This record gives sequence, structure tokens and C-alpha cells, in this order.
Amino acid sequence: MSRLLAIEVGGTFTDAFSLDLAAGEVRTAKVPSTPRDPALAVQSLLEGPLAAAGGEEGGSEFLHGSTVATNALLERKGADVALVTSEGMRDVLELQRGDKRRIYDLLYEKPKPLIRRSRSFAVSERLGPDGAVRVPLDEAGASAVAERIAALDLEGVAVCTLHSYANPEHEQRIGALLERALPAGTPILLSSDLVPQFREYERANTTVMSAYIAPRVSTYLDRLEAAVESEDLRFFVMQSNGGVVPPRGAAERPINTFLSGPAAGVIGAAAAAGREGVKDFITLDMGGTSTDVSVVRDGRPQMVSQVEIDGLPIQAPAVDMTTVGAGGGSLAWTDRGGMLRVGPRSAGADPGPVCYGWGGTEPTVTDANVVTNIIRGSQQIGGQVELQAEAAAEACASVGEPLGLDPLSTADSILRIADQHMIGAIRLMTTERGLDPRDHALVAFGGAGPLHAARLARDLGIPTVIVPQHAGLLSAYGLAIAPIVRHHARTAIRPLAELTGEELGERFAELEGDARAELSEHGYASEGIEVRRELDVRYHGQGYELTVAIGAGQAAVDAIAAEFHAAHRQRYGYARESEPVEVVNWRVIATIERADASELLLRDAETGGVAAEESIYVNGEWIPARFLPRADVSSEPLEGPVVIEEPTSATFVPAEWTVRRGDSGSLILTRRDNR
Amino acid sequence: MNTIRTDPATFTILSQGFGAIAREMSSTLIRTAYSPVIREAADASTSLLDPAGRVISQAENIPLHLNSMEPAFRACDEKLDRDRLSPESVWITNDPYRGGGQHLSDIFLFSPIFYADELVGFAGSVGHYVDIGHSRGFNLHAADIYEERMLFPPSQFSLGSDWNGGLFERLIAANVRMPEATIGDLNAQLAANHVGAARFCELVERNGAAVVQMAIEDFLDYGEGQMRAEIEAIPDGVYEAEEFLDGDGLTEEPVRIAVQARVEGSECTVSFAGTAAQVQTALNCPRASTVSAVRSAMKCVVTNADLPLNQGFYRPVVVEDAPLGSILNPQPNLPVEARALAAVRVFTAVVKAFSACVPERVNAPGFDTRTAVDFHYVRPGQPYVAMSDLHGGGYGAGADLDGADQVDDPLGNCKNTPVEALEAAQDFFLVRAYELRQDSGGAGRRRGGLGALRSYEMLRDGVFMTLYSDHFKRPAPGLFGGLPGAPAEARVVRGEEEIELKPTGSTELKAGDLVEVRIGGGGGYGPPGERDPELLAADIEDGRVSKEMAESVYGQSD
Repeated sequence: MSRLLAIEVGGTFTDAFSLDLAAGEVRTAKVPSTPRDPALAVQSLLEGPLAAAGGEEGGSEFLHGSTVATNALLERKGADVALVTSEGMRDVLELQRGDKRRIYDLLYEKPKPLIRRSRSFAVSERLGPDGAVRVPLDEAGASAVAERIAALDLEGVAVCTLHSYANPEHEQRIGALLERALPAGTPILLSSDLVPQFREYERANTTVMSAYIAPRVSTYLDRLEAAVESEDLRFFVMQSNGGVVPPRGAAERPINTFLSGPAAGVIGAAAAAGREGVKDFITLDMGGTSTDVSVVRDGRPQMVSQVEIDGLPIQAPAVDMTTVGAGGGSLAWTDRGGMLRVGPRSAGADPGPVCYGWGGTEPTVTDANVVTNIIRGSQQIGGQVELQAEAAAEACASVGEPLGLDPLSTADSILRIADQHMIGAIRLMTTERGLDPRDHALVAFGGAGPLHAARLARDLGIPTVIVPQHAGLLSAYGLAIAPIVRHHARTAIRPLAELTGEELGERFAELEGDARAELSEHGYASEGIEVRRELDVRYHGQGYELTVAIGAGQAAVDAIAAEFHAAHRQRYGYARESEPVEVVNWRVIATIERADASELLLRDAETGGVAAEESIYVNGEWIPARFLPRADVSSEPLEGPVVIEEPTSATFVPAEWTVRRGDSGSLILTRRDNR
Repeated sequence: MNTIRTDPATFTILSQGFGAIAREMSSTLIRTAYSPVIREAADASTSLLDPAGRVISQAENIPLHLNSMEPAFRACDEKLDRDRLSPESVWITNDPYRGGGQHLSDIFLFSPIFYADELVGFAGSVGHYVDIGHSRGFNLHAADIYEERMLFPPSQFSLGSDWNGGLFERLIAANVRMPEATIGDLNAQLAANHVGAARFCELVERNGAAVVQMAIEDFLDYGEGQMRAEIEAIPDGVYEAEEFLDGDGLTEEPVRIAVQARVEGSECTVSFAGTAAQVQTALNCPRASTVSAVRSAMKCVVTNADLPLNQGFYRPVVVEDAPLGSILNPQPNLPVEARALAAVRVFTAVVKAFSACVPERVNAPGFDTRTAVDFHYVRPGQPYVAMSDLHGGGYGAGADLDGADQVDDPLGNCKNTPVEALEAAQDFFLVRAYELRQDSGGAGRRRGGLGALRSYEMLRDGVFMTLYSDHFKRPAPGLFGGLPGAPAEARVVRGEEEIELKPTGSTELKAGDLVEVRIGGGGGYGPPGERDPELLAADIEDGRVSKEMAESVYGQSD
């Protein structure tokens, strides 16, 4: 490999990283995203700052993450598709789960289904929960449905019948009949193939959503592939599970490409923290409009098997993440009852914070940082924008005055409230899951994360904060180093007492076979594939499962109960060891590590800047603080208060903290009174 | 506007912290519960209360539960001795007549929160129990509450000595048909309370008891201030409405629920003159349910749905007691199991009353009925199985939007149970259909939401089914010229035979029986002739409205 190129398209900015191995040169770039056609920003990067220096001998890798799937969904601009389901169930997408998100809303609106009701069809057939056929498939009826769908001239069909996770035969037969009736090449997606897991609404929605966004994702990836085409280029697409796949894999399972940017950030954080020897940590990714929080244990991001986008559930493996509407651009305001609030509305990129002078009038979190001078008012943003500290202070004054606050106290209050939103998200991901935040480090990134991290850590009792190199571009870095990962999971509800090592082996062998077959289709030999096994387990009668990792053989079966009781005790505070336990979902995770470039990529970037001393407003008083370029921090600890500045972010080290450069170039912040 | 004494940032942070605690309690309860009715349908609620029993925050689960947390607590507080409270104590009640309870199936648990030996608050939770002994499921013919369920008067028990194998736990376990599920769900409530107490102590630890106390007072005043400002904006006057239940289950004489909402300045007093007398069947609605229904309706009509609810929101709303002997304040110990039916009529009537002064804020009456379909089955030598399948219905249309199709009623917020989960949990029935009912939404300029058909095929003889529902005879009415939604129906198809079911009752089923429950739709808003032709065309294409109805009711030509 001669060159590595990672481009991550976010909602506001497109971040990029390139590594020229021959020259040993790392380049980074951050440009505004082009939401109407995300490929434009990518192309401009490829032709501009990231244009290849010379020949591409030895091949190169292009890694990409984008919000194309999310945009198609949010704007309801997906493909025109149909659903085929079991007789009696055609309204599965309309009925949803029957509850409301806002209980005191008389004018309640349900999440809008992806397809209209007239695009939903039913065929007579029925399976039981064990997969046994209760009503045979009505072939003639299914053919007639296929003909009716063919007449509609659609872009794809999703098939989801009841209990198909236990027996795919009816769906497969319906699929074959559809294939016969529809023009060649029309995508036909079977739920038993995509997500063989129980709960019919969630599975049907996932299958329909796949069909709905697949053509948009494919078209986009094809275009991009053509644009970056060169000899020996390997193209990869980021997924929500923290790994990449070749574009064909992404086009086949487009639902896995939602939320890929935040997942890439977590992968980047795991690599950077791992190089400092830290395996258990919380990630804090604070951007312009929101903050994402996740937890990494023993070097592995915590995962979930279902996520929700725009009110619609998707059964897709994803890095478990909580998002709160508190970012640098989040607006401060006072509600009618006199409560000072921050977010969830954001000033976004336009008009942006007041201090940018682009027309914003309401104060943002960034403005509060400018008023307190933690972001220096004398500084320029991106070397161009003169910060308007006075305008920021005036905006704070207008919000604070009715509350009896001066501009400085207002700014301080805004920061405290924004901090508390993030602390709430961290508690949700830790204490609410039986984890103690104090047993973790906090890894902060995104443009604003490192400014707030030490203050959050102090409140949470977290002793260490790590700010990776390129903290403002960590998603692109994570993208550059992400391994190839595929999850294969299936529901088979089995009492643990009846389970043998043999059955365990057979069921996992089947899933593993699927995983290896898929990767081999993408051109990967079996040897390099690492396969992990997981089970989702619960007490018989419970409705939610906990995931346990598992090995092979009878010993593995014997270990399940103890692992599950322990996980249950950690999560919920108790275990019932005499209760029957059952296995619900079976999962394998197949991983192929790519060439490890994490160290090369972490070479110190040239940050520029000069040291300075100015006052900052902290805890109700102005105190002197040093401002240093990142390159000035060495392995010798410096005492706060100090602010470390770099082009895409800044790190605030409060008075009771020290900062030093870690072995791999991360900033390591340590609380001095480490209790 | 600003009477808040707490430092602004601290006030915001603590107010949001109170809400987060109630939400964490709720997620703990639902995730650790055993019964499908809690773990899948989420028929459970949690609140944080201050030492005086005032509601500080609630998780947004079931309005009918949530807004009666305070009467249940108050009854316990009056009957029990605070001096005997320790961190191991739990207060329990489900008594509708002496204990501020609703129906016996809803059990309230309150755990005291101690910080440095000081009582600083209570963590409260309530869950719905499909079985706690006595009658199997809903018993229309129960003569009194003693025939309905096991009764827990306001009482104190100790986790140390009475639970975990202690007398109280053993007594409950011995008197219910599914002890694992019942005790498991009670443990889930206790786990929720435990989490609430731990989190609240952390909040006190971080901020100091005095600051937290002041923030609570400010937060309740803040709620009160918002509520008063909104009521103030409504013109003074007396606004009235009436609603009807189909009957008491024995006769088909409609049961009238009448409300009068008197708005004066920033206060509103709600009374029930003209409401029907108590009935001999389980449709009575005890005082706590009535109060909860009014408070829920006032919150919906008056304030922005996003504002978190606390005790302060209750202060400007006076709910007068209906006279003792009214269906909304029955005499002890008349049966009450189906109290949700009358309670939601109170809700709908309050909303409807306000249509006269704030028509843009309200919707037309929806189906607004809890339909509970319970199946009980036991094979000799096998564990007893009881499944509760809960349904809402079509929502009423608003001034600018069609009613939502088949969601839970406005006083509930239960999820439906996935067919695949329902069938994996038992082997005596299948769900054969779960579909929207064409033409069930009330016609109007804006159309009412559609109701759904749910049908169940029995696989065994001897399944015992209980049902309560309403709006079989008198459907949800329309508003401002809108037409009523479709009424509900239920029947058993047994071979050639079709057995019509009444909205309330029970029946023994045979293998092969098909039970069809058709839920009704919501009322329309405004005259059907004014419906936008494009919306009507979309309704026809999507099968929500038939061509026949488009012609006969909407007057569509061609």
C-alpha cells in the first residue's frame, strides 16, 4: 500500500486524512459539507488539498463515511418500494408499537412510515414461533401479489413474514415468485436474510428501510467509486458497527451505514487511548450541534443491536451511543417560566455563534467560551474570522438580564448547563448501566469536547482525560484505521437447560459459515478472519436481553449462566440464580484487521501558534492562564490553568489539573488531588 | 416572571436532574419486569416525591397512573407512622377507597429516601398486575372489590424482615396464580425505587440538602407559574361537556359523565354535576382515577406538551369531589376494575369542554377507550398463564391534522405486544390479524384516526377470556360538524356460528375459535364536505376510506 485516504462526510463538515507512506506525509483537511450532493465536497478535497502527490504504486486505500443514508431517510427521498408480509399483518408499519413519545400531546403525530399503505401487500401463509408451518404458502395468491407489484413499476420489494427468523422458506419462495414477476435486477430483500431476529415491526421496518435507501446509497457509492477510480485502489465504506466493508457490502446492507461518523470517532478514540495503555474509557465527541457519548470496555466499544432514526427502529448492530443537543452552537435562552436553557436548538453553521459575526444574535456555548476568554477573543478562527467578543458579551447580557445575571455570570451559567447535559449523557451510559464513571478515563474530541472535558471529569470524579492528536478530526482518523467488520445474528429462543455443546457448535458454525462466505465473496481469504461469538440471554419471561461473549464446547455452555447472572447483577443490581435462563439471539462478529497505520497517522501535526498569557473567567473570578500551541506540551507535566490551542480544537486544563504529552502524542490531563 | 431564588444554572441543572431520576427509575422497572404487560407494553410508571409527598418529577409513561401518585401517597402518609420509617421500609397500597388507589390491579410502592439519617423524599412506582389472586381477569359480576383482587390497604413492610422469603412476600406468592411473575414485577418496582433513592441521594450529596430543597420549591412554583399563565389567557367562563359510556355492562342504559370547567383568572375548577350514579358492576371510577383524569386533561389542553409535569401544575386546578355515590366517587366497596373506561370519558369531556374557547388546541374525541383483552389458561400440572393484550384506538382529528391511527388511549401509553413475542410466550393462541379498519375514522375536514382489528385463533379448549371496552353502541363523536368514528365490536367465530360479545364480560373459548376484536376510530373535526380533495384521494388510494364512503359521506362525485 502506498497511500491511505479517509474522508468522513458529516452533517456540517467533511473531514479528511491522508497518509502518503512513501513520503511519510500526513495531511488533514476540513471543509464545509455539501448536503445536496455530498460527493462534491469529496471531489473538491481530492482535487485540492488531498490530490495525490505522485504515482500510486503498491495500491492505495480509500475509506469513506457519509450521511447519504441518513439524509435520504430524513428527507423521505428514498426509493419507491413495496412490502410483502403475512396475511393479517399488512399494517405492521402503520400500527408500529402503539405508544406515544409525547404523552400530553392531543395533536399527536406518529412517526411517518417509509411507504404508504397502498404499497403493503399480504399473502396467505403462517409459521409458528418454532418455524413450523401452520398454514402453507398460497402460491397462487403470492404470484398474484407479485404480478400486482410488477404492475406498479417499483424500485424494490421487502419481504417480511411472521416468524421467518425461525424458518426462511416462505420468504424465500415469495422472493422467487417476485423475482419471476419483476424486471431483472429489481432488488428483493428478505427479512430472514437481512435481520433474522424477532419482533415483527422492528424487522419489517428494517427490511423496508434497506430497500428504501439501498438505491440511493448504491448510486452514490458507484459515482464516488468512479470519481476516485485508479488502479489497485481498495474502496471501503464505514458502518455503524465500527468497522468498514467494501462498497458492495454497504450497498447490500445500507442500514449498517447509518451513524457511521460517530462510530468512526469511537474507533479513533479506542486506537489513540489504546496507544496510551488505556482500555476502559468514556468518549465525549462534542461538535457544533450535539455531543455523542459512548463507553469502551477492554478496548471494545459497547454495542447495541437496535437503533432508532427519526422515530423508526432499525435492527442493526451499532456502537451504543447517547446523543444530547449540547454542542458549541447550541443556543441559550430563557423559557416562559424563567428557566435558563441551553439547546436543543443550535445556531448551526449559519448564522453560527454571535462571535463569528455572521448574523447570529442569540448566545451559544461557543460565545460563552469566548466571553470567559477560554476561547481567546483575540484569536482568529481558521486564520480568517476575527472573533467578536463584545458582540458575544452583549448577547449573553440580553439573555441574563431578566434573570439578574451579568454577562460573565450568564456565560458561566451557560457553560455549567451545557456541561450538565453532557454529564447526564455520561451518567446514562455508565451509572444507569451499572458502571462507575470513576473507573474510566474520559477521551475527548470533536471541535469542542476538549474544552469541556476536564470540567465534566471533575464533576464525575474521573481522574484522567485524554485528548488524542487531531481531536477535531478524529472521525476521519478512526475511519482510516477501522478494521473490516461484519455481524451476523439470528433469533432462536432456546432454554439454556436444554442446550448442549453440540447444538451450540452447530448453530455458531452456521452463522460463521455465513460470515466467511460473505467475506470471501468480497475477496477475503478465510485465514485472516477473526470470529467472536456472542449470545443475547435473559431470564425466561423477561423481555430484554443482555449480551455475553462465549467460547466453544460444553464448557462454554456451562459458563453462560454464570456470565449472565454476573452481567445482570452489574446492570440491574441483582441476579436470580435459581430462575431458568434462555438464549434468544445468536451472533458472530467477523473481523479482519487492516494494515496498522495508527501510529504513522499519529505523528505530530504542525500546529503553529505562539504562547501567550491572558486572563480567563473561572468560578466567578478572573485568573491568569497560559495559552500554548500543542507542540509546546512535552512529557513534563504542566500545571493548569492552561489552554492548549490547535487549528481544529482547543483543550482547557483547569487549575487543579496537569497536562503532559503522552507516549503517542495524546494530551494526558490528570487531576492533581487524585483521590 | 422571575420568582426563582435558586441560582439560575443550579436551578436548570437540578430541575433536569429530577426528571432524569424518574426516567432512570422507569427504564429500570421496565427492563427488569417479568410480565409482558410491563416489559413489552410498559404499563408502569415512576415518580420522585418530596418529603411532603409532592410530585417533583415523573417519567412520561401512563398519565392515568402518574397523576394519581399524590393521592396514593397521601393516603399512606395519613394512615402510617412516619416515625417508624427506615431505609428498609416500603409503603404499599392498591386500595381505591382507603388508600388513594385506582383499581386493585395497580399496585403503588413508595420507598423513603434517607440522606444522612434525614428523610429527604420518596421514590414511587406503580405497575399493572395481570393476576393478583381472586377473580381470573376482569370480573364484570364481582359484587365488590373483595371479589376482584387481593387488597393491600396502605401498609408498611420491611425489605429486611418481610420480603426476600419473609411473611409478606410468601403470603402474596401463595395467593396468586403466577407467583414468579408477580413477585418478579414487584421486585422490578423495588429496584426502580432503589435506583431513584440512590440517585436522589447523589444529587443531595453534590448540591447540599438546602439547595436541593430550595430548587424543589422553585421548580414547583415554576410549574404553577406556567400553568397559571396559560389558564389566565383563556377567557373566564364556565365550559361544559358531556360524554357517555355504553352502559354499566348489565343494561344498555347510557351512563352520563358531565363536567363543568369554571375558569376564573388563573384558576380552573372542575365539577361533575349531572354525572350518573354509581353502578353495581366494575365500571365505577374511584376518586383518585377521576382526579388523575382531570389533571392529565388540563395538562394536555393548557400547556405545551414538552413542559415537564410536577405538583405545581396541579395547584391552579381544583377538582371538586363528585358527590359520594356518583360513578366518579363510588361508595365503598363497589367494584372498580374497569375504572379506566369512565376515567377516560372524564378526560375526553374536559378536553371537549375547552373546544368552546380554545378550539385550535384540542382534538375531537378519539376512540379514547382502554380495551383490555385477557386470556387465562392452565393445563393440569403446568404453570398458569395469563396474558393481557391492551389496545387504544383511533385518535380524534385536530384543526389541522388527521387523528393518529390506532395508538394507546390518551390516559394510557402502553405499547402493543409484538405478535412474535406474544406467540413465543404461550402456546394456546395465535394472532391472526392486526390491521387497520377501513372507514373507521370519523369523517371530517380532518379525519379521525382509524381503529384496528385484532383477531386471535384459539389452539386449545378451555381458554378463559375477559374483555372490557366501550363505544360499541355510541361511538366517539365528531367536533364542529365532524362525524363520529366507527364503533367497536367483538365477536367469537365458532365454525358457522358468530357469537357477539358485549363490551364488558368474560367467556370460555374452544380450540378453533376465532376471537375478533374491532377497535373503533376517532371523531372527525369540521364538516366532511370541506375535506381537501387531495387528502381524500390519498385516503382512497391507501384504503383508509372506501369509494362508497367517499361518495356517501364526503360527497365526492364521479
